[in-house]
Amino acid sequence: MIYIILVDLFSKGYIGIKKKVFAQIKVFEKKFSPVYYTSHSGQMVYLMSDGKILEKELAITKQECNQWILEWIKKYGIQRTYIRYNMSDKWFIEFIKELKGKNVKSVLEFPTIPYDAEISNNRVRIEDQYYREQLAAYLEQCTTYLNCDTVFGIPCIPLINGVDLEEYPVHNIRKPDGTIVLIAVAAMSYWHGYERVIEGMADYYAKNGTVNIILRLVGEGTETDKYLQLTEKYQLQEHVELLGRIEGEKLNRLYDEADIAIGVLGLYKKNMTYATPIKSGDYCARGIPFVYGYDDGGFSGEESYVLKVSNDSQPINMKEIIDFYNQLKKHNFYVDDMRNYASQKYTWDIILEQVMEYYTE
Amino acid sequence: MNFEEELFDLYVKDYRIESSCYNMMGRMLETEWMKERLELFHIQSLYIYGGGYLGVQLYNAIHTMVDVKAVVDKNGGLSVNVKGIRAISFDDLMEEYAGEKIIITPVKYYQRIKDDLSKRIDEKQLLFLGEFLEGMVEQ
Repeated sequence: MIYIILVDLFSKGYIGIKKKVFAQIKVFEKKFSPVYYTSHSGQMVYLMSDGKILEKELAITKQECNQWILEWIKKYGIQRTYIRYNMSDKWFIEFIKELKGKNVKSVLEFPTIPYDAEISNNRVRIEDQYYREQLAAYLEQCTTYLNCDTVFGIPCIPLINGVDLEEYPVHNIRKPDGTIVLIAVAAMSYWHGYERVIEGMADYYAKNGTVNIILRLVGEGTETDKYLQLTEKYQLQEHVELLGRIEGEKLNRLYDEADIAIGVLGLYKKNMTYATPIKSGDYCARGIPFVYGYDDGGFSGEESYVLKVSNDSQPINMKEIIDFYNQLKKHNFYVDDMRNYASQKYTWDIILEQVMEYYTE
Repeated sequence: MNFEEELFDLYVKDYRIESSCYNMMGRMLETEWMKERLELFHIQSLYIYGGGYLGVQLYNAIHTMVDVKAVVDKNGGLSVNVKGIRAISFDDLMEEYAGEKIIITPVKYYQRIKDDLSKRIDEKQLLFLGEFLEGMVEQ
């Protein structure tokens, strides 16, 4: 089997994707070993297995990437492909047509649906919109992280983002000290919507709120400057900390020094109401209660350790956060609840069950 | 494939080559990045294959960090009008070569150059410029 992904799987910007891809590969390996995978960087396409480069070739165009992969599929006698979607063009259509012709069983994963609003390059968007209509002619199965039956006419298996519990240290609950510490760990993109928290804090303190609330923003991205400006505008420097990119042990400590995590609050900007972002799974696996603002594939919103807020531009009401915090204080066993839930709901073995069935049909 | 489709494919390839060259040119301006890549590939001395813009730009980017033995070009000269860079032919290279890495810079003719070089030189010592700049490093 081969997992086809045409990005630089090993670059710093793709850490989250790499984690996910390898977790999925781990599941595929249980039945279809060896599982090969690709990576594309520096105009080279690589075929890898078990962390080793088996093949590498110069591939300037997508067409060349596809040609090399087809050659490797033949060379290694590969029967199944799992393809991470990377936009349609005429060469991708030719590629999947060829796979179908060779009776290779393929599943196409759409990492995001809908995604048009995310494509800033007009040419890529138009090209994709035209060619994706042909996908259904050559593919019988796809997956995505949205609850839908078909995507562009291809029967779809809905997935949620899984987590590997072993990778997440258990969240230690902080002793109450009169301060509520919020933490948001993200690449600070527009759909994270953290301005809603900053504005909510501004409202709260403008109305003489007395609880000391600290928001720690961990990560960097296109919205960082905006968050900084808002913090200054509302004079919240004592309450909002922009910490930049932090990983590993230092990040674990920051989680331990926080009470509540902040999930995605700006999906409305993408015209989306439903999603299963990795972030929710991450927070759940750590056992830190969190706030989010959309319909999550993994949570109903009724769980005692989550606070579901509206999916719009309204500032987050700090009184709701304080009430949520006070509720949490009443029972400290939610960490185990969350980790148990994550272990049942978020393991890739369970998430990919239907995909495995499709491959073995 | 009809003529127009074939032509379209060629246009796409040319466009991709141009944009790759542009990106590589830009990447080579990042001094710290270049240092990091040289360390990652454990390069202390090397040859640069290709005396065009990319080859000369690479020379300028790294010649103070490592020992650039020479720029190799089939004509034994540079296509860029600069002085002070040692340029040699393929035959000259064969006479003095002692197992150093060779970074191949021409994008369009990479495959042909690699095939030619690998007849006489261990393939593991050959690196494409893009691979050197952003590719994976075999452990």
